[in-house]
Amino acid sequence: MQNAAGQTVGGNIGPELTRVGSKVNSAWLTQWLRNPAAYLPGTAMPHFRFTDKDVAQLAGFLLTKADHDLTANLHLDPATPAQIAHGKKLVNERGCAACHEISGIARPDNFAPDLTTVGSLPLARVVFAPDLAHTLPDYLAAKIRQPRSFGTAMKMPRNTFSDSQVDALVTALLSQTTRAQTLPASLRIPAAPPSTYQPAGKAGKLMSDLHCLSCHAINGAGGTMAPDLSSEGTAVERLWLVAFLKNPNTLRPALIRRMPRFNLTDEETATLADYIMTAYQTPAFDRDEPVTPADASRGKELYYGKYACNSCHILDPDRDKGYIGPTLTQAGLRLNAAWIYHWLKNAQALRPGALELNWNMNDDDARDIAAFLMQQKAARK
Amino acid sequence: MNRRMFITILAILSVSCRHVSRPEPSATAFGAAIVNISEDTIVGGVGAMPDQPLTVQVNDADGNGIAGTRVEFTDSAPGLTGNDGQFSTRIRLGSTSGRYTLTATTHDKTGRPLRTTFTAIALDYQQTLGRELSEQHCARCHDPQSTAGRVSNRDNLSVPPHSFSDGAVLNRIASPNLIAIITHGGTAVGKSPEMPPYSPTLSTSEINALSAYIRAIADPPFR
Repeated sequence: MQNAAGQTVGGNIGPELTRVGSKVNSAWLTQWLRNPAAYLPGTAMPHFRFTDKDVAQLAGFLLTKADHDLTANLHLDPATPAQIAHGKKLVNERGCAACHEISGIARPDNFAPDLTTVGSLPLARVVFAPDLAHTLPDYLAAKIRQPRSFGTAMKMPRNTFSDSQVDALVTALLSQTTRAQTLPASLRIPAAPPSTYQPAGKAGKLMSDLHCLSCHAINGAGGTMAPDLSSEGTAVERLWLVAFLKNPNTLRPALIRRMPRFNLTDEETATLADYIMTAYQTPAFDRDEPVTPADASRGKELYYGKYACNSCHILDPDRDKGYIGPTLTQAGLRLNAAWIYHWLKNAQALRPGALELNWNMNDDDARDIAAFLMQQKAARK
Repeated sequence: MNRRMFITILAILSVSCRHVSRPEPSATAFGAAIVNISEDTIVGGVGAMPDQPLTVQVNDADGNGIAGTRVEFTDSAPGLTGNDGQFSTRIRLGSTSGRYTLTATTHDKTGRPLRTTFTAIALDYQQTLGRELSEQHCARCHDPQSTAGRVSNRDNLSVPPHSFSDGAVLNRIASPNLIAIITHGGTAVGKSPEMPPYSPTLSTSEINALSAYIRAIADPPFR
């Protein structure tokens, strides 16, 4: 959504809502906010379980996000049968149903040409538009920029790509050559197959309804906006998890995107917490493994001195300022000693791509810092 | 009309079109000064066309922007300034890595050229890799600018980290020391422990790439 200064702010999973009030009507918006999947089954938007009051307030706010200049001079007469027939003909000709689901219109077959070997397209077979340099990259770039410059009957829509995006697309298309297709398997580095992981059972059904995987990744499936949950059950304590699911608080102060609150019932929260604590365990170690008693006061010295953890984490809100990593004021309630110990040894092994460094810490230091962090049980402010 | 004939006609058309010269924008006003108002140095991979524009403003003697003055750029189409006196264009970086100096020229009413220059930096493969790693691991503390998606942590540290383009300071650190700081942390050379050790999080070649990137974007340039 655009803010008062005209900058677009917010996430990139859903569509921009700056002018949504000019697009949708109140009745549809209310239904959509109640349960998006009832209208569009595959949507990434979670079922938020809003109360009627929430829905009314949200819909009221969103409907004010309208561009009145856009619709001010627009007066549409009721459509005549001839106009409707012409519209249907255009929808068929342009192949709208190739991407959109439109009732009464069949999805066209063989809609777009196969691009598997487009990088080997012989120039003799290319029909160049006037004024176009006779090279394949120029042809592909022109096709992407202005598909209709090759004929008004072209069905491909015109996308508003930036020049660097066109460059990137052309480069990708040029790599689609016959040589690349016939390369011996021994010379190829295959892409990792996409994960088909879906959480199962009652909790799995709930997680699909909440669309957890729109933002979180689990076992290779899901989004990248929120932390990977594949080992979450090893990391956190159940009591903390239940409280967090009921009312997600801010763990990472520097993040603008937040986990939403879902108005879950106690039963739903328990189902989710039980499943996460049981199913999402790392095979690397046992969360209940005993950690040898250690020196917490030495841990504190290491925390603030040798490792300067306070550069990124807030442990004492009156003293620490770094806000890249999660706050650790409640680390002792949220995490367990075995997780902290292994995290300090090699965080990347537990959650690949985590911002935490792979400290490769020695046993004594890791144990002492874990003991110090387990003492942090400040009440939630 | 068969296909061959169609192509022939197209070919003739395209040849004849090439002789039609497009009218170039001619100036309707003349300025007294030209100023580079681009926010940052343009940085990108070799041969790329960064989305970041080059922007100049043509001013009158009082420093107000003038519309309709003609601006010419090295290797880029000329244009006229808009109502705010500004003209923006985008450039394609050269195919050899290094620093490029580009000139924007306008003419005052006596026909005397007024110039301003821009620096653009084309990164080679290693430097581009370093740039990506820097975005991922370093920019949160070393880049003083916050963006909508990333808040800078720089001011939270007791010793503020240097911006990677700060050549005045970073050029004085010898390359082995620069690599030691990234690898073993600030304490390796008696600097702040707030700079953590990036080994083994990053491999030796990744750390070398970071160092190459830091050298490439240094201002003043690293020699």
